[in-house]
Amino acid sequence: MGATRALARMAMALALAGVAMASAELAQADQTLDTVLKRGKLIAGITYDSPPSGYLDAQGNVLGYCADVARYIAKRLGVGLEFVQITASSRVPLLRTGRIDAEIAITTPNKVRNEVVDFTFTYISDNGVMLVREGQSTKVEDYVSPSKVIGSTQGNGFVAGWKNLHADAQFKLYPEESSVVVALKKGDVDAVLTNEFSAHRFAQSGGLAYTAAWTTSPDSIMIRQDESKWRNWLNWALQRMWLEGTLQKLYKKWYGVDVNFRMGDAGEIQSRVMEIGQTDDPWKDLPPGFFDALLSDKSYTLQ
Amino acid sequence: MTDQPVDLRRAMRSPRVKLLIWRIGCGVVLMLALRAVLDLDWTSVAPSWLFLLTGLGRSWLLAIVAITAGGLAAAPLALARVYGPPGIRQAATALIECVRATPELMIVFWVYFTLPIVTGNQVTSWNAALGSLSVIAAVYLAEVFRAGLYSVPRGQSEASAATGMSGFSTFLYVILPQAVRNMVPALIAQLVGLFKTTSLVYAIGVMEFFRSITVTNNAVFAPYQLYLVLALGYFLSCFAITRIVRWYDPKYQLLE
Amino acid sequence: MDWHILWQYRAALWDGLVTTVWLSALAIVGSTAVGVLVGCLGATPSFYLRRLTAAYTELLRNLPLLVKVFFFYFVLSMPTIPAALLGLVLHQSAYIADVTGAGIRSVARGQLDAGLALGHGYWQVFRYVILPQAVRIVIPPMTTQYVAVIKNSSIVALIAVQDLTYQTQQINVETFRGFEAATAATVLYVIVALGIIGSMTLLQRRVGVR
Repeated sequence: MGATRALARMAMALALAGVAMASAELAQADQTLDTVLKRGKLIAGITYDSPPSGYLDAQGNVLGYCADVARYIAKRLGVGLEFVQITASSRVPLLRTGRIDAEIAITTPNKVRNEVVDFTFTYISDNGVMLVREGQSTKVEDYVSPSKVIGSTQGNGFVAGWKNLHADAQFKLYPEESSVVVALKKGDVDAVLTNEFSAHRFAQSGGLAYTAAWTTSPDSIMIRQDESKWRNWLNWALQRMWLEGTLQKLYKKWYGVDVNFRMGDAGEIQSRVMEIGQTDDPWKDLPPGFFDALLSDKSYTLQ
Repeated sequence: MTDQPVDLRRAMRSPRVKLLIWRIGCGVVLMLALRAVLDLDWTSVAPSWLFLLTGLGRSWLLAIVAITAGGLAAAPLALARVYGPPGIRQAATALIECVRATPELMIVFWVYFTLPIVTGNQVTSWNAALGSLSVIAAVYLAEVFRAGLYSVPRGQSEASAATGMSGFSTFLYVILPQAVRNMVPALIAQLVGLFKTTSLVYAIGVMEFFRSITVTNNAVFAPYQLYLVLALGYFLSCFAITRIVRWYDPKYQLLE
Repeated sequence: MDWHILWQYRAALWDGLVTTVWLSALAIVGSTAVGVLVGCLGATPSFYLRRLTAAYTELLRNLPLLVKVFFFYFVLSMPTIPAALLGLVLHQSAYIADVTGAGIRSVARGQLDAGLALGHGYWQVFRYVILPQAVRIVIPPMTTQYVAVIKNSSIVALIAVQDLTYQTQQINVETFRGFEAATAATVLYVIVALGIIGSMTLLQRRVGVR
């Protein structure tokens, strides 16, 4: 067994080498905006299976509210756009390692996340609901039981929230939202923790229903930590979208409802936000026809 | 008219008749399968054919590029393991064995999520897929190369030494040409394994064949139709590669 | 780097390791049973059995494991563990059948003929002459197959089986310490694989001729 022993020793040496190499952390603070402009392309992390916020059609076109917001932002920066698929578990690693410039999706700020990343203003006001099979109870309290299997995605903020309320809950977590929905349909989980807008869309596809809200779920664009310039620019852009009315129109287009929140610090737009673009901040004019295309069903052709 | 039944029984035992019966049996099964396939509703899936074909093409591209890159990396690894000086030899062995003992899915996660933390360089999911598949290909091909080097009988190097050839020219002119010829089928066979492994990079969001099928299924929900396409795509691709191996060396025992 | 996180999550890692080990153990037993049976049938003189077993291995070997597991789980709606196990067993049984068949065929053909010439039946010769020799031959390639089962078991994390890979992801999403978790899981996988290799080497020594 000399070979095995040699192998074990080598494995240990390799592991130690790994530790030594890993002591260098990523540190490139506050340059994302410049990087994006220099690269001429915004790399946006987006969900591929959370309709109507971010999802793909049968030909692989990226659709959804978040996708359209990303398209608008890229145009205002005057750069191209690349989508990178994120899931609940991959979004933070992809952002921190610099793979994406911003996660334009349905992430709710919380303390654990805020310790490692930063967030913009809220741009979606959603709720946490439970998606269930049609015919089952749609009362949240009926699923507060250790005998009920609660499904969700790995890394979904609702899981920690639900665990805080009900410590003995039993979870079954999948890597992707689409997998959880099929697992619910086939009976492997009794209820799925998801947001109301997605639940509404999944319920429309048939065989599913959803409960009333058990928590709120305001979502923000997620960016790397210590990126004031980039966060400020995104916050200004969201406010300008709001003042233009574009954000509200996109909200109505995708979620079918009017916005039920107010943009900005404590719901107030920052004064002088219209001065963006007058200094050295980028704020490009939109090409003719852009608005119509963005608000149409074919906004994916804009890319 | 003599004993018809006896003749028939003997005829049934002849290899050619057996083959005929087998082929007819296969034909019947295929026909039944085809009827079942045509009974499915294909209208929702049909518009996605180009998208799915692109996915299949990406899987092929991943497999071919990775096996090329892996092959280039495998050669020095195998040489180090066979001819390297003591320290190097053990290091190469440990590297190969450790990577071979690590799940392919973990390797994919490593290259995509974890390596960037170590190196500080970000990596696209496509490059991560290529990188991890190349690493996987490299360690397996290193073993193929090693087996190829060992496949040349020892007597040959002894004979070369006896005729006064140097160690290096023995390797270059005697061992290598034979080893390469012996390992070609195993090399192609590795492509089958690698092609199937490409399905794992689905987990990091590469729009390869498996991911494009699931994306289409999420949008139109036609699991039977799409999994059939999925199975056919992988089966026919791998089948084609194994046929190439059989054509090159009919006696080759295909083991990955 | 924060290696304390591993100690904090030792229970999760342990659970994941236990799940990986028992799932792989069941898959190893199942795929060996099916694979050896198919391999032996394929090595019989029967034309139809040979063709059928060849079709079995060809079909299963040309499909990725992920496709099988997802098919059983999402399309056929099987429960999680049976779907995972069936996928792993079917997948590896095809390889084990090939290994077994190759092992049997590598025992010289003359031995079968000699046995038959002495008036023994096929199964008798198979049982007392060919099988004991074939077992010794197939142990090394079988080791490779068993290590492959351990490795392949990692993909069941994608259908929410809480194995080692799943727990790695879970630690990553709860603490954002993916590097530490992945390192721990990789080391554990290598240790399990080394355990398999070690015990198969012992087995090889016990049944070996010399």
